[in-house]
Amino acid sequence: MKLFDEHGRRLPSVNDRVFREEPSFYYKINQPNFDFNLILERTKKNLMVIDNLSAADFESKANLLLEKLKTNEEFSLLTNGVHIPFIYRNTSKGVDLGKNLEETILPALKKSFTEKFPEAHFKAVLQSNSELQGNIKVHPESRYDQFLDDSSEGVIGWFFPQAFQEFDIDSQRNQMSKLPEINDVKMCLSGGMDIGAAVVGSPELLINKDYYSPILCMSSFVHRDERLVLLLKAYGPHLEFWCMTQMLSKTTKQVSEQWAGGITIFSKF
Amino acid sequence: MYARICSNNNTIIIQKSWLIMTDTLQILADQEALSLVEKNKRKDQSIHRPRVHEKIQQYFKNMLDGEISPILRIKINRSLCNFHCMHCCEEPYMTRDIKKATGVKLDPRHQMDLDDYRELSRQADEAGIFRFVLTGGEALLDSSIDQLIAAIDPKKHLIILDTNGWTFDEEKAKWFAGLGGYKVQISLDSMIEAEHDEFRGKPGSYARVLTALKASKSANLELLISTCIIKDRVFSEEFEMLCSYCKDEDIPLYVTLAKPVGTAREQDTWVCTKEDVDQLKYLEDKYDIFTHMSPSYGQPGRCITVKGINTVNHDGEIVPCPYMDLSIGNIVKEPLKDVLSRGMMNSWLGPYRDECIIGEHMGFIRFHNQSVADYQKNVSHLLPVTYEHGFGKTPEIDNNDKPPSPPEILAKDRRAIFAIKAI
Repeated sequence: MKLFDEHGRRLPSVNDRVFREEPSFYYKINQPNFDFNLILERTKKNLMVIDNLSAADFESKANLLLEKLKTNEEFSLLTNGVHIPFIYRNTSKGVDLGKNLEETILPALKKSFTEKFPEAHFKAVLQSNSELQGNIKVHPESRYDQFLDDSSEGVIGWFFPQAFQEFDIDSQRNQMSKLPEINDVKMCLSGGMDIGAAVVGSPELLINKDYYSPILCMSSFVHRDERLVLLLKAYGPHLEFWCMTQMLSKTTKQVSEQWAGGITIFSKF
Repeated sequence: MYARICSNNNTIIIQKSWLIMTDTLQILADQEALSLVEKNKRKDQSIHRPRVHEKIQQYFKNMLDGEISPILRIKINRSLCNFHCMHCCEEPYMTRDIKKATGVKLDPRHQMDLDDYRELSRQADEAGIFRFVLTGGEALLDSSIDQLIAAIDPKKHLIILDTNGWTFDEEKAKWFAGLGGYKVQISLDSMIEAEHDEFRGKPGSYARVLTALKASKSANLELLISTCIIKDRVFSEEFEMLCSYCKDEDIPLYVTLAKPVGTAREQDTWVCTKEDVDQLKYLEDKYDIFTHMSPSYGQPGRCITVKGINTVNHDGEIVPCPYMDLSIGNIVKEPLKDVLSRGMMNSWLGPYRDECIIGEHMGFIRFHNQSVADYQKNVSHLLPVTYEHGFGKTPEIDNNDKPPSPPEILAKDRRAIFAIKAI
């Protein structure tokens, strides 16, 4: 069964709420070149200590993982979409997800991004009194618990940021229960840690002088106030994290051409 | 770890965690829309305009439910104007243009009267809206503008005046302040006198703008300079001069993007690119400069259709942006809240998008201009294009049937506006 289109975007199911059936891709991400050495260096410098992994190991393990996806009939088209390799180790297993975002992921994003773009800013904004700490949990359908478990030992992964381009947040989450599992490849709906690690390694991902880029939804993460969602977005040359409402009105949720959910595949390193 | 700006009854306070600085996160809340100056202004509203203050607090309280509180921009006096600007989006609405194009002396449609404006003010108040901009053409050419301000009610709404500054001297500034006027937005399109006068089609207008700026300050009115950019102007030495002038004079600079509409419909080369807009976003960090899409009131920078600024045409048609010619409904014929709800459910207008669709999105610009051309050819020369002939032909957003409920404890405890974290 065909699960993805030729751009690597998930084909919407009957009950999915999408901006349109076939996305316009007005909002674009350029496929970055894979500089495994640089990604590893940035990750080590800004996010975490990694002693037992060389750039060559990172590259070969990442490529092996991607190859498994490419040879899978149902998922091979996913690899036509933009994909970014990353490394992540959750050194604070059991620590509250919101606290980890505040104290580890966001500062690492700031450091990596402003080192690459010294004239630009990184900013984090929380609408209303929406604290992160103590308020973020994993969506039960997202398969993100497996990512958190494995990342305590360290994972290598690929982030596919536009797999759910133009899907509303609920449909992104519901999709994970519809996707089959693959032997030897673990997969989850993208959330805060993997997206954060991917952008720490490739801080230019959302910055483009010609095109507007999609907004990366951290849809595996559910705020206690379910009207709120976590997003990473460009503001022109700048990078911003938002915890903001997904409500278009009191009874209608956002469904936007620009919002995109991602799929992350990973394996322990 | 970080501070939060909270509203507490009628004052704005900053919690003590503001003072805590760590290596990881600090709050730089004052950098954003709730700067100290802004907070002082809001505090002032609580004294002078308690109803406005109450509505601002209500807006923040309901923001997570997707509540909007857009500016309503009222075009008055048949858009009469004493200028002939090269970039005017209003020209097709002016009597002089209608007469030239159709031969009729006046727009024959019902023109909103004071009773209509009173009713609009009432409905806007009920909907939590608190800002009205009076614009034209040149709004000050309307001899009954004092009655209009009274009808809108400056105790319930902030009244903001758009002007080219031609007649806005000290006497006029005091008069406007005395009527309850809140802010003046004065157009200045170049720091080079000859360039401004040429662009505005009015010799001597640059000098009058400088007089108007001084007069506004003397009358203790809130003030900003409005300037229109065409492609590449943001990279010019002249634009940097204007930014520096505004900084020195402590006047915020509001930048609008020239749109290929009105007298500039054929000026495709004026359309700004993302590069221009990105440069503005750099400059926002350096100067007190903003566009209609800059982050404000706790919202990220985004297209402001319906949710940010709506124009009320003379006949009551609501246009969901200052620069479009397509309507989402008529508030003389149906309630304001129904018109705004319809707009929010339109796929071009409601959903989140970063770019200015009428200023940058060529797909939308083509749809817009084709709709205008078809309407003027087949239906009526008189703009705006009514809903059924424009936006009504584009998809609506599907509704949800399971809106989330706020957690009880958070809803009860919700006092804060928003927090900005910086590292």
